[in-house]
Amino acid sequence: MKNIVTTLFACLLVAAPATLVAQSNDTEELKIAALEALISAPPERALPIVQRVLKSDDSDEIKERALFILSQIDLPEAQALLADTARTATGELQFEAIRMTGISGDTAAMAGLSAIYETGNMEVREAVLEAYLIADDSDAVYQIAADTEDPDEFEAAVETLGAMGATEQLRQLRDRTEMSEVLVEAYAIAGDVESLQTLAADASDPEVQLEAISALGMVGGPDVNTTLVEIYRNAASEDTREAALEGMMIAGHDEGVLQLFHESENPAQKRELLEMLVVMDSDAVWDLIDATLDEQQ
Amino acid sequence: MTSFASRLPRLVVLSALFVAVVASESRAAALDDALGEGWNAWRVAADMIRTTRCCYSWSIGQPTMQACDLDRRTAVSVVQDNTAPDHGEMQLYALIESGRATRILALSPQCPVSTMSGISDLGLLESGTSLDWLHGYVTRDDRLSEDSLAAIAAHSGSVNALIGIVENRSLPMGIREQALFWMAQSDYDEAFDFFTSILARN
Repeated sequence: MKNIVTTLFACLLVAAPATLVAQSNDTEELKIAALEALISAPPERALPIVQRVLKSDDSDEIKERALFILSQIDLPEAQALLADTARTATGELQFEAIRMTGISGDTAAMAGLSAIYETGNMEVREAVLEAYLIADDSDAVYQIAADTEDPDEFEAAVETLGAMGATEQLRQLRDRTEMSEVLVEAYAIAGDVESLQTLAADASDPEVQLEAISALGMVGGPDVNTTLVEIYRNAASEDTREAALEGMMIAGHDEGVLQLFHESENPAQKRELLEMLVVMDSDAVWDLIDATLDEQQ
Repeated sequence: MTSFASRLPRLVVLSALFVAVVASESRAAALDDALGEGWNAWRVAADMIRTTRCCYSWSIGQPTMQACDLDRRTAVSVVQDNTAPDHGEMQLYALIESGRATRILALSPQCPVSTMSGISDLGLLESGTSLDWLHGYVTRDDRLSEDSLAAIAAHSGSVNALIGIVENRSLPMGIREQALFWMAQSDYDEAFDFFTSILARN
């Protein structure tokens, strides 16, 4: 009898924590489900509940869901609360509130982001840039890039502009010559062929010129392919030829490389072009091998 | 004697619960008996909250009501309709095959339907009977459970039934989530008190 009691007690000791964990997981899952369901609730019904969650000692995960619902509530009080949380919260919750401000796109809340950026650390600033990216506010990002003397900050802003495809704003930053490398990359990400072609034709800074030539390959397309083949043909230096070849490799323009191979009468260049076709895993290599074997027969 | 007295309130609650469960099961069984093979229809009091449930054709975001073909699985939509009343009736359709429901649809009374077979009309039923019967089909994360849940949500005073589904930990979370989704669209204080209570749990 004593053994049975001991065994039962042991079972209870093992089972009780497992039951508590299962219950706690269920409660957490249910809370998240309840918050997500509130997205379809009348705003004036959802807001007080979300407010209470944000003031509670719930986990950051729960509060982050609450912030998303808050961003979707089209009431001035909701947007004011979101802006306040973005300003006063700390850590992940603050970053999330900032990002959610971008999702809401509310004009007043968005206006508050510049002050948060000014006083925030690097992580806060990244979250603000992300919010601007989400809200497609390229002017605000441009202002950050134009105002800063800090290279890291400039780079982060320019990268964001590139991701936004903010061609106009990036062009306005072209006079920041000390930051050309970052700008070239951003032009490529933004798909600004025109700016890259201008820089590729400008020999005043050979390093930037070479970067622009190979970055053209990132944009790709028939116009870029033609430009890269032309740059290779008319190159005044080996470096320019290499940059053009690299651009063609990035663009996957093996037809252009093959065309240049056929045109070239320079054995060293021919070898280089053939090697590039191999690197590109181009089927043209097999055509060339077949043609060479046919010639030998 | 003292021991019995202390247990009395618990016994009363248990007895009440037992009676409620038995009553609910007997109401569901009574409806089961009344349903014949093929399509059946009945009406219940419903909270439509300025919406119409029907099949629609959509053109440039504008819906045009069209007949729901019961022989096909035409998609049912809930459309905002400011001319519709907050409270009214809903028409339920259930296809019974080999004694079990295989399809359940909740539509607005004005929504036309078509079928090659006949429809057996049971007329207006008491909401509780209909709710108890539908509850029996909310068992797993599948289409039939989803459709039953949507039908339950449209019944007048369905909040308690939905709360029961949310609180039933033996049901899949997906179904409990859907019950919350339907509750959020209701306009009952009890529904939002329940949301508050869930979110206050530790």
